[in-house]
Amino acid sequence: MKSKSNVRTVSRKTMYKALWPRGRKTLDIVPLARRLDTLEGKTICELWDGLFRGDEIFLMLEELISEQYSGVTFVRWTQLPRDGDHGFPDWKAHPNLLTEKGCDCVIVATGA
Amino acid sequence: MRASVQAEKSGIPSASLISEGFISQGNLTAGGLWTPSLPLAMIPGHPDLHDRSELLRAVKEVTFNQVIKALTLQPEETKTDVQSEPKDKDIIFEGTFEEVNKFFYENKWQEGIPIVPPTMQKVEEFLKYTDRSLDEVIGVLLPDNREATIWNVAVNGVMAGCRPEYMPVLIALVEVMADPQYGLEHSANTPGAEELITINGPIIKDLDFNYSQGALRVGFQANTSVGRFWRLYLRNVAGFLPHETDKATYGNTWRVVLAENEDELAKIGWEPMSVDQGFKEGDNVLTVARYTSGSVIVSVYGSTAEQVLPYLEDSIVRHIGWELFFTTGSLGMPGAACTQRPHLILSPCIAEVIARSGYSKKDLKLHLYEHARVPAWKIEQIGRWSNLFPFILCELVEAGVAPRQFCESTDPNRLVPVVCSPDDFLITVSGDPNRNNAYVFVHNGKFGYTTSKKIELPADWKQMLKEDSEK
Repeated sequence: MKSKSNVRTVSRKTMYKALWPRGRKTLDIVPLARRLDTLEGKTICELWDGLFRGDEIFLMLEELISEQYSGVTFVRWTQLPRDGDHGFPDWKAHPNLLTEKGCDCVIVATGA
Repeated sequence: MRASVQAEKSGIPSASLISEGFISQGNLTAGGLWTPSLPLAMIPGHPDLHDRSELLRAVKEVTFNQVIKALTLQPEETKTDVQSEPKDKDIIFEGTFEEVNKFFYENKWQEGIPIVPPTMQKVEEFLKYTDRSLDEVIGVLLPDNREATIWNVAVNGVMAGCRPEYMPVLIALVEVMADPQYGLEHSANTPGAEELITINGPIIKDLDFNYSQGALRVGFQANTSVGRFWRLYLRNVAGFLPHETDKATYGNTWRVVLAENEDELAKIGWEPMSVDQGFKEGDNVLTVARYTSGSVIVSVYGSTAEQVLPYLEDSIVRHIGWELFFTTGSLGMPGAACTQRPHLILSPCIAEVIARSGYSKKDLKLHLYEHARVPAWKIEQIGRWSNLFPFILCELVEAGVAPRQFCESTDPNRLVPVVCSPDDFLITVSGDPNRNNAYVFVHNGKFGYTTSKKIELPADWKQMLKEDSEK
C-alpha cells in the first residue's frame, strides 16, 4: 500500500514466531507423611498464624476431638515459638521442633 | 500452608484449615510448595464474619470431619506433568499480531491488553544490554516455583513494551522478587496491595524516566512499561493469576515507576532515597515496596516547615489504618512488628520550603516521627474492629512484641507513633516542581518489604545507548 505520509504500513500478514514467556518449573514432590490409624492416644500440635480466629477454632476442635477420641494430648500454639514467618516457628532455628514436642500430627490455621 | 509442608517433610501428617474462599488458592499454593495432594480442611464462609454460634456450627458440621479425614486417610498423590511444558527458547505460537495476542490471552500470559510478540530477534536485542548469561537463574519464584532467568526477563520485557536498554532495570526488579526479604509470596494476599518501584541514579536521565509533572501517570515509556513488566512477570513466571493463586479482594493495577528528582535534591542539599537505603550517591538503584493505598495531599499551604508539616503529618495519620498492624505486630504474629514504612513524596517546591527552614531529611523524619501520632486507644480500636491485633498495646510491649515507646504510660489517650523509628519513613522528591501537592503511600509491611537493589550496567553501556539512539 503506498502512502504519501511518513507512516509505515505493516502488512496485515506479518507473522510473529512468539517465544514461551514462562520459566522452568522446579518440582521435587514432597511425599506426604503417613497418616495415622486413629487419633486415640495421640499428641496433636497446633500451629497458628495469628489470624482469622484460629485460636477459637482450635478450642472448638479440641473439644470435638476429645469427645470422639480418648487420651488425646494437645500442644497448643501458645506453647510453640512464633518467631518465624507469619507467626509460625522459625523452622531454620527450630528444625526438629515438632518431633521434639512429640507431635503425632499437626493442625495449621488459618488460610483466609 | 508452609507450616503444613514443614510438618509433612518431618514425616508428621497435617491438616490445613482454610476458609471457603481460599480453597482453590490453597490447592494451587500446595502445588507450588511441592505438595499438590496436601489435604485441606475447609471452614465454610469466612471466620471473621460468623458470630460464635455460626462459627461453631461451621466447624462442627464441616471442618471437624475434614480435619479427621486429613489426619487419618492417606490422600492419593497427585501426579504432575512437568515434562510436557515448553522450554526456554521454544517457539510457542506463530501467527499475526492479533492471533498471537489471542493465544497469549487464552493462556493467561497477558493481562487483557496487547503485548508485543516476543520474537527471537526482539529478545536478542534485550540480551545485548546485559553481560550476564542468558541461562543464569536469578531465583525460583513462588507460588509456581518457576525459575526466573535472564532469558525470561528479556522475553517478558519485550512483551511489556519495554525498550532493550531497560534490561538492567528489569533484571534488578527480578532480583528484588527473588529476595526473601521482599516477601514475593505475599503478592496475592487479600488486601490486594500493589508495588511501587522508585528509581534513583544517573539511569533516570539515561533512560528518560519522567520525574516531574505527572510523575505517577502513564505516558512515558520507561515509567509505564517497566511498571507493567513487574505485574506481567508476576503473572508469567511467579504464577499469580486472579481467580487462581491471586486472592486480592479488589486489587490495584500496577503502578508506573516513580523517579526521584535528583536535580532538586542537589539544589536543596538532601540525599536521594537510595542513600537512605544504604547506597552511595550516584549509584543506580531501585527500591520496591508494596503499598495498600496511596493518596494525594492537596494544597499544602505555608512558607515554613512549621506551617506545612502539621498538614502532612495529619495526612499520614489519617491514611494509616489497619496497616498499624505492621507497626505494633500482634501476639499471633510478632514478626510483623516494626515493618511499616510509609512513603511520603514531596513536590520540589514543598521540599524547598522544608529545606530552607533548616531541615535536613533526617530532621524531617524525626519531626514526622514525633508528630505523626495517634492515640493509643485508636490503635486498639482498629485492632478490635479488624480482629487483626485485638490486644492492649501495653500487653504487646510486655510480651516483647511492640517496642517500649508504645507503652510509656497506660493512659489510653497517650499519643504513640505510627512507626517504630524515624528512619522507617521513606521520603522522596518528585512530581510537578511548582505544585503544592504531596503524596503518601501506606505500606503493607513485611508482606512486600521495602527492598533495594543496585542496577548493574553492561560494560559498554554508554556506547550502546549512543549507538542505539543514532539508529
